[in-house]
Amino acid sequence: MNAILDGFRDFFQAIREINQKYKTPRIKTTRMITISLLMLRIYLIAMLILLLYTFISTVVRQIIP
Amino acid sequence: MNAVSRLYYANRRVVKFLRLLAMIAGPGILVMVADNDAGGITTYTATGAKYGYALIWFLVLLGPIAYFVQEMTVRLGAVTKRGHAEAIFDAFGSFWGWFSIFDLTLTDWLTLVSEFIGMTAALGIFGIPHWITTVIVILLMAIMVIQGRYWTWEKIALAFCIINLIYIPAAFLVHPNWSEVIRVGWLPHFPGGLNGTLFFFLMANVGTTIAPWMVFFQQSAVVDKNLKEKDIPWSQLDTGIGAFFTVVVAIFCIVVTAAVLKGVNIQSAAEAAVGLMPYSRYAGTFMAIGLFDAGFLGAICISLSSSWAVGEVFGWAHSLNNKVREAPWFYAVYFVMLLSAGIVVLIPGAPLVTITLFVQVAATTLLPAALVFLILLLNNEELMGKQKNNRFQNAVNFTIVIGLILLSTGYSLTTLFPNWLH
Repeated sequence: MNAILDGFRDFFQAIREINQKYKTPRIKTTRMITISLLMLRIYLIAMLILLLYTFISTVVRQIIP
Repeated sequence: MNAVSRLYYANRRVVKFLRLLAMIAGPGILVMVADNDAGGITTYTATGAKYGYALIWFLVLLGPIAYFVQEMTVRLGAVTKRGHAEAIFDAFGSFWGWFSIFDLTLTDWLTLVSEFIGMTAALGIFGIPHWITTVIVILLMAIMVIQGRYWTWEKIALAFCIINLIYIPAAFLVHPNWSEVIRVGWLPHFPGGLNGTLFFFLMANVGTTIAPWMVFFQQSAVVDKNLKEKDIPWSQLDTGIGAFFTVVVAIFCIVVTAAVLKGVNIQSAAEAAVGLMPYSRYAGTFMAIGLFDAGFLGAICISLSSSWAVGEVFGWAHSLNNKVREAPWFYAVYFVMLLSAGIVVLIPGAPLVTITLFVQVAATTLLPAALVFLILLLNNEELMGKQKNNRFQNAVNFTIVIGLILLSTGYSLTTLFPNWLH
């Protein structure tokens, strides 16, 4: 049990170290990059909402025919 | 001087060129041929059965598109000496880095399941039980990676690429009307007008030509092969040859089904292979062998693209030149992906159709992210130096990326809401 907990602890420690290492983006943030990343965020959020909507509506349709 | 020496002396430049190409070629041909994976073959057979030869011109157009996207990964890998995942972490920070890793691992695993579906269905035609196919595939893939040399792995994988050409003799066996193939296939047109069904087929073909795993795989392979900036022209040639073969295979695959099964509603390539059997036993057999090989090639590349990416980010040893004991986590990720995907196919009543559908949605939805990062990185002078995209490359690549984003979004929407275009 302890070995499993240690394994998880090491894993999360590694993730913390990676987050620390890449905390600051190395690329110079130009206007083009800011706009591109913003549009990408909006696109991904919209697609995620559509995926969830389809999933939930499919499940609801199966439960309440 | 004997005849052989004289021949060598007369053609020494050609021999030197071919020798260099044989040394450097690999990642480009592999990624492009593996692009015609089980899902890809299913799309081509369905396209041939539905529209005959009419969409061959569209596949010809997809060749250069695939080349221009993949060529960017060559330059990025050779210049930065980093895989795509690590490059995203470094350039855009940990949020986008984790997003990319999650995106890649999810789509890779789902695609890997679809490769196993294709492989088990292909060998199932010959009466081989699914579990035996799964065990054989896992063993073969284990033998390929644990020998501890990238070069050997690559050459074995390239041998499997040659089997992918089996659709060429299969096409000759079904005796298509070649003048019709040229007359109908090479003239750009939309059969029956640009309606919802045709749009869905066009987008499905685009979706099989460019996938997020390809971007990650080729960049990591370029790094693992230790290709340098001076090797970029050779790697570009390697990618160009691969793009040529991927289109050739796709065209011949369409010719096979268009000649025999036009008008038949094909749901999978295995179904097409069975449908071909009464007409030509050899053509049907070749189709089944080709499907198995396509799934196998896809599986060997996809499973590696994830383990390379995770290894890069976690800082583990992550080269095929490492033995298992030198890079245990790299191989652990590889085998966990492989085994879990193989097991899913063996679960009785597993929702394989839903998984196949979800693979298409996930891959095409997440493709824009991979392409946006790629084009931003290739425009960074500090990172790329003189290998930065020039005006021509930017004009071509921006057009391709915007086009692909629109088409892949349309494809996702069509899959999620099948009636929106009807």
